[in-house]
This record gives sequence, structure tokens and C-alpha cells, in this order.
Amino acid sequence: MNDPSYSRLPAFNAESIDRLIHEPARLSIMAVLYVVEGADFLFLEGQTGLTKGNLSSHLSKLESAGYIEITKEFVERIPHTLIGLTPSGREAFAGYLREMKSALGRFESL
Amino acid sequence: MNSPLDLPQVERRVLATLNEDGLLDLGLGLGTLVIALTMNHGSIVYLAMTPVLLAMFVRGMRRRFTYPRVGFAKLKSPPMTRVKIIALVSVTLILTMITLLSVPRVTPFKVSGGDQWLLFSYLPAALILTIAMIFAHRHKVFNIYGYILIVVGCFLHSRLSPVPLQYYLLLIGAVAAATGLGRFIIFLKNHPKPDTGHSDE
Repeated sequence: MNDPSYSRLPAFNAESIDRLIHEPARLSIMAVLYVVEGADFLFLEGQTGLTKGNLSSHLSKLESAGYIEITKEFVERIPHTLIGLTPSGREAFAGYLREMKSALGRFESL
Repeated sequence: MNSPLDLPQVERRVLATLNEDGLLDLGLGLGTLVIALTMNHGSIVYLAMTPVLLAMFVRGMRRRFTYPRVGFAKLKSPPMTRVKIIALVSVTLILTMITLLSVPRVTPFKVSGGDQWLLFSYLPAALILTIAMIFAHRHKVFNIYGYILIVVGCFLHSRLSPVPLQYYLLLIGAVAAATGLGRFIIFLKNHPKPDTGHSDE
């Protein structure tokens, strides 16, 4: 800790990082949902590599936080359960990305 | 290594999964073959019906084979206002007209004044290519741009050579359909249908 470079570390407030999104599995889910309008359970399962139970549990947490919404809609006359980010979820993820990039930028500047 | 923070990479992976089935290439190939086989009949009806049948074919096949295997995702459409679409179609049509009408002056094409009007029969084809460009833009299927370029290149080359456009289209259609079919078979092998139902978890 006597390294003088540590004293040059800018202040970083870890509290500003959204812990709900920061968890790796939920981060993967949010990232996939951020680049699409909506996806079904099977697609998310394939993209994130999570098991059904794990995915379901993380989706519940994100839904409780109001970050995602689960809607049933008809695609080509076939019912699909689509999972998508809510506006607040999209905003939260964008904010998380900003915070992380800013935090990483601080360390890279050393 | 896949990083969830690398959004372009996440998007590329999503697009790759959605287009892994090769059905788009298969559909484009079959559509091109239909156009090539029917173009000598001179009916615009075939030409106009082909994109509709193609879209129905790809959607139907995806509903039956792709979505139960890899799931379904609805892509975010890039902003494409009505004004942009009208502008794109108009510019394409105008450029096509200018190109076609100026071709006899700058190349050794033997097109008499009266026959120039025959070139207007290519306008529906230009319109179809424009629709394909809009589709490629909205669905981010970038290999369609390459496909369009090849078709346009073949059209121009066929005007310079004695080989009719029909043969070029037959070749392009056969190659695209065979590639698509091969990718579709590999997709089915790599993604066996899950025992349980899909999506409605």
C-alpha cells in the first residue's frame, strides 16, 4: 500500500454500482435484453448458458425490481412469452454501463 | 471471452443465433430460382409474388424448426421513418432509371430508342432489391447486401456478354439454396428439438 500510485487513485464510490445488475448471471441477462426488444425463455437460456431454474430465479429478481417485464403476445398466431426490459430497466442498465466504464477508466488512467 | 459489457459482441452473438438456421439463404436461393425460371414468361405477377411467398416460407419454417430449438427474439428495429423509406425507394428508382437509360451511350449495348422502354421492365426488379435492402437494414442481415451486389453485378455483366441474365440467376439461386440447405441441416443436427415445449416457461 506504500506504492505512490495508489495515492493517485481517484475517488470511486462502489455504492453507485447497481448490485442487482452487477451479479454476473443477471448482467448477462440484462445485456442480451438490452440489445433486443424482447426474447423468450429458451432464447435467453441459450444466450446466457444458465440452467432453467437459475434463469427463472434471476428473472424473478429482475422482475421484482421492475427491470424486466414478462408479456404474452402472439407472434405469427403462436403465443409467445416475451421477456423485455422496462424503460426503468433500460435506464438502469445504461447507468450501470456508464458507472462501470467510468470506474474502469479511472483505473486505466493510472 | 464473452463479456456482457461488450454490447456489440452480445448483439453479434444474438444475430448469429437468429440467422444460424440458413433459412434466409435457402429462401433467397429458391426465390432467385423461381424468378430465373419464370422471367421468360414476362409476367410481373411472378416477380411480385416471389418476395411474399419467400417471406411466408422463411417465417413458416422458422416457426416450425428454429424457434422450438433456439428460442425467439424480437430485434430492435433501427429507426426507419416513413420519410426515410420513401426517400430510399425514390433514390433507388431514379438511379436505376438513369443507369438503365444511360447504359446504351456508355457501353456497347445495342438498345434502340424504342427498346429502351423495355428496360422499364427492370423497375419491379429494382423495387424488389430496394425492399430487400430495407429488410436487411431493419433485421441487420448484412449478407443480403452482398447478395444484392452480386445480382446487380451479374445483371450488368449479362448486358455485356452473350450469356442471358437467366443463367446467372439460376447459378446464384442454386448456390444460395444449396448453402442455405447445408446450413439448415447442420443447424438441425446441432440443435435437436428439446423434449419439453419451448418459450412458455
